[in-house]
Amino acid sequence: MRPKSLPVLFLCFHFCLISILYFFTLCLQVDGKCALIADILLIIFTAWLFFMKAAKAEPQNAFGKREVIDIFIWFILSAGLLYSAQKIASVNGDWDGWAMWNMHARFLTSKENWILLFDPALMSRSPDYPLNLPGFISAFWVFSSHFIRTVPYLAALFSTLVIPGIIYFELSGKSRLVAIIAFLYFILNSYYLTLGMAQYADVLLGLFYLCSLVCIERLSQNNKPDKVTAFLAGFFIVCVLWTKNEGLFFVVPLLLIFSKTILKRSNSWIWMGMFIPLIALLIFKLKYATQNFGTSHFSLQYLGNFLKGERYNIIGTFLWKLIKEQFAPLIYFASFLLIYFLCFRKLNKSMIVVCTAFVLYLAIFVFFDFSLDWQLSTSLNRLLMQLAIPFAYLFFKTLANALCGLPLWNNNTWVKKLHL
Amino acid sequence: MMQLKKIEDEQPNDILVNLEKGIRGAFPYLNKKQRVYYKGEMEAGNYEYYFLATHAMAPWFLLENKKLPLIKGDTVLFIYKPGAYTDYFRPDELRSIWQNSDGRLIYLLGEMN
Repeated sequence: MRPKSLPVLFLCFHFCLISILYFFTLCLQVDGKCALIADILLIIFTAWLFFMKAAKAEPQNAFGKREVIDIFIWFILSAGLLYSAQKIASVNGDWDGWAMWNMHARFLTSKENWILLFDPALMSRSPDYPLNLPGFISAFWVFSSHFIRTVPYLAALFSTLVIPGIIYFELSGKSRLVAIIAFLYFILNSYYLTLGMAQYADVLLGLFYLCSLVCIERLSQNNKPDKVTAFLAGFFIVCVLWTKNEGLFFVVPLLLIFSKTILKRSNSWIWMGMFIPLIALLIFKLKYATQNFGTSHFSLQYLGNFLKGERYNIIGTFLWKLIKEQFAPLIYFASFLLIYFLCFRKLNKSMIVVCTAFVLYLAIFVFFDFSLDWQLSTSLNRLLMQLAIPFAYLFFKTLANALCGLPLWNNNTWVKKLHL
Repeated sequence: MMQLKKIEDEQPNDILVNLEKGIRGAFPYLNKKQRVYYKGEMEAGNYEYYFLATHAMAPWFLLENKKLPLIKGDTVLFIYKPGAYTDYFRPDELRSIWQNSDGRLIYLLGEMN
């Protein structure tokens, strides 16, 4: 079975594909407009394939009333989120939005000058950051031959809007009520909307964490081979690294924990999916990108920091304060998941991936010898948001699984009542 | 669409747009890929002019906040409040190539003597 959110996942796929194709046009010194044109042609081709397949589909697989209801509810909820997000959105985004991500995008618009981005003069602007977000923005700027400020704004809106959409479609098959509650959680989460509309890449990274988990979970549950889901799983796993460097702390546990699924012969399309973004990432990292903080400051002598209790104390105090102030629902989510695990002894692999990534994030703060006060205050909130997105998905999914046995929460009860 | 238009048109109080307008006139005096050194105002609320100017000058020119002292021949983008010139340079230290003002700030492109 394929993910129910497949059309939305395809949008995310094209988001990354545009940035990757645009990066290749820069490397090959060809007209950047080709990237968007190539992607549009691919969209037309896949849409044609989809309609050809839909025409041959068996009646029980055809588009039914339930799907129409799902889309109608999703549309209403998306309009609500759009309204809430608009109120928060600023013209140029927040600090890192214009000082870093959008500035990177501006350099990428010039096929003659884009190398200036990696000049030592711009070391403070993190030129080592991967190019998913700036590449996407640049592709549209080059296509329109103008620095339209709506493009970074729409890119931010895309990730903010798509995340609850994926969760909604993934859960609506089990419990539409839980799916609606999950969507409302994002609409009412002002911190999520603020960070989403800030034009940073953190919510975008959270989106690709989510996409990777949705696809890989589906593959691990499938008995039959599914090339499309496998391809997308591989593609999204590498796109995590193409979005932000810290994605490595998510990808490594994911590859290890889901190794059985990834190495299954029937899922070989995962490797095909990985291929194109991996080529782009390797070219970028090996040929162009400057060293990042982690590699340039790495030293084994910092291992001693793991024995310093004071560092744990500072991090723990800051983390708890941050969670209470900005991520309070996570406390209830975690408590529920813990109780659920203790009662049913069901250990979720995806949850292990998210928790391991969280521990690795915190380990970085313990390990590196930088000023903790500054680093924690500038980055921990964003790191937590990246993981809060898949964490919320896993919570609502567990909730939907737990509640779908009850008549009120089960879709079938409503279907019968409404004679659908 | 109304909201999108608001995002696109919301310019009068936008510090980034104002700064870009302020320094754009200097661009014809620079060569492509030219390295320019920044001097002047650093803080303005939550914004730093150096970061704003780097954004505005990309992708054509590279603005650098030079840690070492400026030397003869260095091209400088100098952003300062009226009357604050001597806080940064001696009167004969900088040769003006181009100058502009928005009433609140003076934008000067110069070369070190």
